[in-house]
Amino acid sequence: MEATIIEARGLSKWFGEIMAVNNLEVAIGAGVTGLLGPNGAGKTTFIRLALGLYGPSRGYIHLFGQPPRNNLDVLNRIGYCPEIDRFYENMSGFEFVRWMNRLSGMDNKTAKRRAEEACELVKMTARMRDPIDTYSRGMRQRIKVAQALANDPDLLFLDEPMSGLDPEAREDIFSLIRHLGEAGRTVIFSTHVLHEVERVTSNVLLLHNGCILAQGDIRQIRGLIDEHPHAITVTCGDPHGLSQQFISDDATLSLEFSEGAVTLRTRDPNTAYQHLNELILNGAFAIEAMTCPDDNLQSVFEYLIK
Amino acid sequence: MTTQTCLSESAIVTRDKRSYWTFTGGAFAHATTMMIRHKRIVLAALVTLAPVIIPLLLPLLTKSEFSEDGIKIFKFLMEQIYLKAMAPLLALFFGCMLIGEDIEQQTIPYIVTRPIPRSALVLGRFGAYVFMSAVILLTSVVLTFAACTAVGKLEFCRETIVLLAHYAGVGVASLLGYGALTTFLGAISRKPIIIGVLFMFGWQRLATIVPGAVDFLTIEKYLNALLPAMATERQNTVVKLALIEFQKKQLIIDASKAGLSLLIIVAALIVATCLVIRYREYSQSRTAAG
Repeated sequence: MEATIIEARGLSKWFGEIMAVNNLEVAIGAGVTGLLGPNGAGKTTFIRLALGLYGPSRGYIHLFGQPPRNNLDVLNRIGYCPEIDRFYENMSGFEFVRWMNRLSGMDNKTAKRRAEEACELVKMTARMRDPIDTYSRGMRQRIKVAQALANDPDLLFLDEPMSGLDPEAREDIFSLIRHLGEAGRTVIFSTHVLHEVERVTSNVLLLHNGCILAQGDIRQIRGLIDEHPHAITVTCGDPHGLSQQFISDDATLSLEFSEGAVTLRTRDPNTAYQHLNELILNGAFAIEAMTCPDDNLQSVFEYLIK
Repeated sequence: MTTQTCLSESAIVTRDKRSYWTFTGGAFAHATTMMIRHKRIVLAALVTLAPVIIPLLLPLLTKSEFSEDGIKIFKFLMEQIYLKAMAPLLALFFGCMLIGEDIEQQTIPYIVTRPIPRSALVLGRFGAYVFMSAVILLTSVVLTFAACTAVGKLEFCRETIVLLAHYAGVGVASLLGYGALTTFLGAISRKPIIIGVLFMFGWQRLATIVPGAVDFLTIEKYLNALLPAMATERQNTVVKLALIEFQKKQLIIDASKAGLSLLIIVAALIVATCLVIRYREYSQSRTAAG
């Protein structure tokens, strides 16, 4: 399998005077990648460029080493779940997926079988014969995902797939995305809701105003922000005593106490973790739990867009 | 959810087997199904079948010589109603929706992200349009022919069957010509029906009275040249308007050249439609997109 599935160099797209994406440098490999950014960040434009729906104004984007626009070899390997909630309304979910399969070049028998399998995959078997206009938003979303999966794609684009889903459906789609990634598929999952990305991957591409803010593992991105204090929350029997061990450290910026815990903010997380390990090994403090509340996309994102 | 993430193992095999004609067949079947399920097919069928009752009603409404001459009525209906109104209407009904409806309803991203050759998509859908509209038009033409035989002077014989077949052929040719035009308009414009109406019922009428050879820029010019030799008077060179009366020089082309020209026009419009789909950026919600 190719190491880099999606590669963009100097990728820009503008519509009139509106710059939708600006000079993107992207390299995405197999697994799940979260495409993250607020509305208007350029996520959908990036996906549409990757799908070949738009041609770049400048630069290039390659999928599987080839330009995607009007490239049937590339299109043959991808699935796309669009953001927009549109269907051929006068048919059932099963028929919709089946017709999309026919337009993907499958014969009728294969298209039918694969549509049934895809509907089963998104748990729509029971309702797949009902008309689409009787579906809830969540069901429609599942059918959109089903039609994207029906071609068994190597690369899957999911543009805001959680939009309008009920909690159970969200869990199902989260689970499906994780398993697709574990199976070696490449999944590009776009959202503006940060915690959704955390549920399925630590690999993110942060976009804002058409530009890349950060790309890579969320923890590595976090490490790049060396000026941004790193928070460590330690739950132990004597949080005040523990805090004495760090208060004289120049890297320590603040100490916040809550019930049975202390949150340490430091500019030097490596030294702080090392110090904590030594304390645990010495048995000086009965440390019950240690968490990193800052290892969270929300805090990183908020910091990055400042 | 189960941990199943892949579909059956035949996926890769199926990809390799896909042929151009499988894609075309898929596009044909999809478009045919969509047309059959569309509410406008009922309206299109009713409108197209309406002329059938004219030959039956005319003798009751008027006692003129024309109303009792089945062959004259049939020719009149074919030339003035079916070829100048019904075929263009069917093209507007169905041709505009072939690509235009996917753009209007914003389902086009599903289509253009499929690995279907654009020409196979257009040919399949255009074939579905020709099939469906021809079934409707020819059904009406045959019923009209049958109704005209009831009036008189139109016998059911070899000569009149040939005449019927000839008109049916010109009818299909008109569906091809107008359909290719409306398919192209549907792909390139947000208002294909308005532009189509202006062309078919505005420009084509105007071109017959404007001095010069501008009538070559119509589809009707070539269709008229394909009509049976025994058809009612055509190539009237005297144009009478409310204010003026003038002689319009008309260049007449023979049927073979007209047929060839029409085929070239259809092919050019189909190729142009493929190119539009290939190169157009379908962006229904640029500003709203994330």
